[in-house]
Amino acid sequence: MLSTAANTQLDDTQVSLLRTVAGDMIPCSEQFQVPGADDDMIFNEILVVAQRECERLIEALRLLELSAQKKYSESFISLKKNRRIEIIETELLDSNAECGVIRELILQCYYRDDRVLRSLGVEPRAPFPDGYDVEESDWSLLEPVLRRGKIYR
Amino acid sequence: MNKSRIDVLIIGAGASGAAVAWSLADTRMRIVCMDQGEWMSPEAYPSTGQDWEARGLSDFSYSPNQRRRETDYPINDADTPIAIANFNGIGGSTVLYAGHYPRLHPSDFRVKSLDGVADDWPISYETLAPYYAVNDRMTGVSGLAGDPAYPRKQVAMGPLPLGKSGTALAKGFNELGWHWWPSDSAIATDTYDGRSACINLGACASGCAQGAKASADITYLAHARRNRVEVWPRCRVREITTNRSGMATGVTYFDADGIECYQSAEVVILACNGIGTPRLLLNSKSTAHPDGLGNSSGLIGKNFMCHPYAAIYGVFDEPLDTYKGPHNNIWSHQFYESDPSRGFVRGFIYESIRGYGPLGTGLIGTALSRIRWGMSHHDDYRKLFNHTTFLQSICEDLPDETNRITLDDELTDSNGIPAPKVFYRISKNSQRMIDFSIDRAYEVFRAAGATEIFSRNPVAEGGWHLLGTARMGSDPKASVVNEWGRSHDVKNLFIVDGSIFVTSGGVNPTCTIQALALYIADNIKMRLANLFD
Repeated sequence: MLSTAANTQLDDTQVSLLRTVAGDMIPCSEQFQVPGADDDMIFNEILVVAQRECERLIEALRLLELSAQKKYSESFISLKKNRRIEIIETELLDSNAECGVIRELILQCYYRDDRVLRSLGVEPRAPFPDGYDVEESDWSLLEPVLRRGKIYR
Repeated sequence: MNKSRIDVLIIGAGASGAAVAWSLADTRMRIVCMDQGEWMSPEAYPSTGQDWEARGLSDFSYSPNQRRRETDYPINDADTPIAIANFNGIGGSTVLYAGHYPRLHPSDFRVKSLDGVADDWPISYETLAPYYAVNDRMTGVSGLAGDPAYPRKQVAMGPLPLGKSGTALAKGFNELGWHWWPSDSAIATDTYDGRSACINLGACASGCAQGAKASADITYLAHARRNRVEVWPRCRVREITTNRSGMATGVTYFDADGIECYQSAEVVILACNGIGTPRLLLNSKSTAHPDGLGNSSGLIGKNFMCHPYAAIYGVFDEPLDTYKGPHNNIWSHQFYESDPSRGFVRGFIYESIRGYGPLGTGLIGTALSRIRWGMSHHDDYRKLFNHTTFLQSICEDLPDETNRITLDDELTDSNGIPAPKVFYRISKNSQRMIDFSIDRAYEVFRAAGATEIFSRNPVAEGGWHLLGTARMGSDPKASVVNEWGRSHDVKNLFIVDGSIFVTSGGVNPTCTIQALALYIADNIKMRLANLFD
């Protein structure tokens, strides 16, 4: 169940539409052992973050719905999955900048989930204070550059 | 705040304001550095949380229009293919910059003489060289001495690590016989001047929680405050006031509570960057200065340059270290100097960027249709994540009066001050340069063994370098400030930021902006007895 703490200005229909879109965009995968973006925990986070950009998000959802109506004369949710994804691809990747907010919202909440990060081989932690190790440099690679000499005027 | 009369009022506590404040502190004058932003808390920087990348889309976005902090002012950048990037806080945009720290080349100061375009600067590389050196020491530049792309210069510390990404690209450049070198970086690789060494957080561009990156708040301003320079945060200047004889008398500003205040000063120094500075001058109209303060040339706001970038990505079979380590890695100046056979004048550098973290990979991969939605998403994503590194070409933008900053008729900040409006187009010369840079970068990636290569052009969010809108020169009809940064029209008004660049060069400008600020401060100190003559 979704937490009521994650309340936004989205109404129930918009929340439902957003959740369908999230699951369509990034579905769960048994192969990689990862949840979809419509997973309870991730979607709850999506709703929290959505509050900052609620106005843009509502407009983006309206455009998705409009696109479904225009193209197939049906509501977005009632379309078959392949058609929904086709509309998502069209609206998010073509020139419709307004829908970019959905892409940013879904990706930013999905790719910080512990389960997702672990499946990518990334430690689920803040970079600070431990940082990371980077392998040592082989500066002998510079020898041919030095041999060629000065290149400025 | 003691509001009694002050000697020098610096507006802006970023790269240039901090540098000029530190240098002028020698004079023991009363110096105040105002900024509309506030002091930053490194413990609150994004890299202290697991949502570090996401905060680049909100309170640590490059774009003031997306960030929307109380301390930001909006910028109408609807009429430019490159959105404006900045940060308003003590330290200015150095809080978010990557710390790429190349100098201009000697040829950059003589573009008219050498290539017959734009104008020569009124100063030379040799004029700035001692100030570059002081600035490198104050900043704590890491790098490797001996770069054949430059006259001899020192570095304070060893270079940042090549890592897997830099090594792959270095081999590609070597295969083609082209120049590359570890980038000069404003990032400490060793303990330096009270700062800790870099621990490879990989989040340089959203503030360095480690304090290894040399943002101006922890370099120049730390020293300046010890020398009694006062820093006043949350002061948003509305206008510079003048008297009947046309001299600057002080500023009207809003404090954090929105209260309008007045502060008098003997000398006013502008350090608000290539957009904030013309905005303030254009907002400072009076009977004596009907077109904006110090604008008898009509050039304030004109000749805006911002370095169009292209980004070229290479995907490798083997895992890299894209999100580990500072963004800075290596650069190439192979195509910096003009070569008429290329079909354009002037040139560019490549800077290599190690790569993206998990969110960055998703954003760029989906935006460029390399990662699909639906069931293919996971496979597509995993091909790119930690396997993609990239080059950015920073292309020299030549001055063009039609590219300009004006005041918006309707848009204002939260204090009702008219906001800036940007008009900018990429010139044909710049576009040919960008296209050339993309083609050559493909060759580098092919030589380096990349299995997939793609690009974007321009980098639409990449308006980081804001230059040229109050240019320097010796002719008052063709420039806004003289060859040592003083307004031609207002003899106690100085500009020390990127506005005064005559041309943009093809490199990140912060190092030169700070060297110029030190040079102008030295000129002020040398001429104190007759500064206003």
